[in-house]
Amino acid sequence: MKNASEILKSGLKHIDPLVNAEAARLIGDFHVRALIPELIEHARFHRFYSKVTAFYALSRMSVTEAIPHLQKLVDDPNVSDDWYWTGYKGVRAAAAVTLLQMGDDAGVPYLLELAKAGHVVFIRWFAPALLRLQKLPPELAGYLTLEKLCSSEKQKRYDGGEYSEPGALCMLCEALGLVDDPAADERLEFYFGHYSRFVRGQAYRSLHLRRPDKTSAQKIVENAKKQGTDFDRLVAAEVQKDSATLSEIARHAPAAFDRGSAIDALAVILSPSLIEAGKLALEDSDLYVRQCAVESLARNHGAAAQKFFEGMADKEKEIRVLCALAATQLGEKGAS
Amino acid sequence: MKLGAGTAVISPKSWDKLTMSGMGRRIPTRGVLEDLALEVFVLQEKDETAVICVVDQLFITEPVATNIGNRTRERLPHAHLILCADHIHSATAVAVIAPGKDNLTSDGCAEALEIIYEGFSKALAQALQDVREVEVAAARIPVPIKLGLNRRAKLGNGTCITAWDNGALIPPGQKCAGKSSEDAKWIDVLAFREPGRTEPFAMLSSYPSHVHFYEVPYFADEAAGAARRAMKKRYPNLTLMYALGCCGNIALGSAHPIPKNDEESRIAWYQEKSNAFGEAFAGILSDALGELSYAPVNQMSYTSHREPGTEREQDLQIETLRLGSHAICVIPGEIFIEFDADLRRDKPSNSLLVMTYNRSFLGYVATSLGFEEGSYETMRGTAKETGYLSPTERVKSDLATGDSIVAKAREQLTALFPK
Repeated sequence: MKNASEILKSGLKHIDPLVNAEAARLIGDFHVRALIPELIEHARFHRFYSKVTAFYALSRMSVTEAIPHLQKLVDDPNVSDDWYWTGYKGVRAAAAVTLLQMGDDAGVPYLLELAKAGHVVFIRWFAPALLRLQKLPPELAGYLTLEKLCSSEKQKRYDGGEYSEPGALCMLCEALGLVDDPAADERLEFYFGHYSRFVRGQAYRSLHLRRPDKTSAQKIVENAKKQGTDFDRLVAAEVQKDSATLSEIARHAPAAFDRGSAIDALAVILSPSLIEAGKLALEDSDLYVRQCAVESLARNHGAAAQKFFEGMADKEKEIRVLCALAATQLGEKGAS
Repeated sequence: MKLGAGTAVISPKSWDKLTMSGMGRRIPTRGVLEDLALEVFVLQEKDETAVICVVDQLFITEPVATNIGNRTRERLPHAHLILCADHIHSATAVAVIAPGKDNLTSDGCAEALEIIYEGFSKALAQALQDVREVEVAAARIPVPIKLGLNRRAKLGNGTCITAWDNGALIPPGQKCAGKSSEDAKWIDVLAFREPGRTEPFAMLSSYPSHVHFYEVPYFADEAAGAARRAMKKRYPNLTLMYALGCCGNIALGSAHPIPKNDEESRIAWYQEKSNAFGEAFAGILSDALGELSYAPVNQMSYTSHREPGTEREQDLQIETLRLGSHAICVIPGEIFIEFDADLRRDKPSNSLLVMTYNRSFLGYVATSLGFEEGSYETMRGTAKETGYLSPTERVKSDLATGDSIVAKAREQLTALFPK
């Protein structure tokens, strides 16, 4: 593939901020260290909230020279202040969490401010990332208990809708998978009955993370069967390491998102079926499915996956897929 | 068929006593940057008369609709009134909040309301004087550039986050799967010209995108006004009525990001981007005008359905107007763009133009998958009062709203256009 570096650079500068976000993520996931200067520039000067993926990418590559810039971004994120919403505060929090991931606590006072306010940015959107920290600052830990995480659902505006809409609840379920409290299991099972398949899916994954035993897996499978959506089925199949079901969904699910997610799941369970399903998915009509296939094959098979992608860049029209191809080619190691 | 067009300025005079609608405000109103307006079309065919009005407001509430309805009946006792807002966030909040509430002063609010009512009467009188024989053309005009964009970004976990304006805030560990559904790639129009003329003198457009250019501390007419002005520049004798289609999940994200936080930069951004939108919009319409195929219309009929509200739900009003082989469907709320395709399934009429934000003052109306994906629109829901329902119960209740609107509208279309 020619000009892989230029493709990723153009992805970072693309007019669509969601393309920028993905280009930055891919640079970080596949460790394209040659583009660290561009990533730092993007993090500092880009005006869309989606630039936070550049912060995360810098953290994944442990780019310590970015720390002074991230410290400044905690105070001045250089984005428009949507004071009524979560973008401005979220970019500040993202910089603070990224700093913590790199061992710098300069952003803790701001996170504490959000924590004390019970702000949705803290208690939902960044709770899982904070709970994953190897050293969670003790002053923040007290705000990330099971009780604190779950008591906020009926707070604030829109009857607490900002805390309990499916996106926020998925983050809660992710956090519940990580919180050090056995009662979180029961709470996760409560979400097995949620109206959103995506909340249920995250509840399955988190419960499996906490209790990777046959009894839990059986509960997940039974619930997924009862719910009946492809997404329920694919997460249950992921939990059971059921490659056949995942391959079937990857190939035949009507929703492109389900097909792409099934490919991702085959990669997560390190299934040998990924090669066959992934190669088919490289020809999928949907760009997200193709992107999932490129990333998953590269993630699990490293440099050997490049042979699957031969000639693909010449006919690929979508910048996002081209960025994924470029990242897998330039990356110094496979993404985890 | 005959049609007359009228317009009126409805900017508030005592602007210092008023707040603006939409997204809340942190700083005092400084004045009027661009005049707010309303447009009125009067359509007549045999014994039938219809009055269509779009107002630069966030929503239309029942008291406003009642007053304007009364004024319509004073002049046209048997006319059908179709009344919609264009969901401008930089308009007076009077159509949303009753006098004396919030931070509005009663004096300023009452005065602003009266300006709207008087403006309507004036525009109606102007339209009645302007009535003339017309031919009608309808078209769905493709939008080849990025204007109205889907504002819900889908994450790798399947849920959505807001990608409006300067969005989206992607949480750590998540990838962005893309947008949850399509962008706004068309403008529906109905054009009216005098027989024998080449250019229309009145046009109703429907674009399925929020018009958002808020967060400037001035009353302003946002994208709708910019489109009207750009068309006026090209066609001085044309009155463009700018209505919104199914746009609950679409916004003008293409105009972002806002370059800096200071007020001067924000106003400069507003003017540059809203004018650019207006020019683009008018350019697309202008390019298509020569291709329109006009024909006389000898049939007009109207039907409406009003579903009485409950303690927590608004009345649901759906109206359909038949103009020959063309239909205008008028529905409430901020309905998701996916419903547009549902409305026109099996092509109930030769053309269909959808107007939203009618007097029912309904909030967001998501698809069932949209509710599962979550994000801002689904947490707002469709109800006026939600306090005693849990979010899950509320969603169950709201889930049916979109399908119900589509079903009623299609019922009306079938009645007006029997096979």
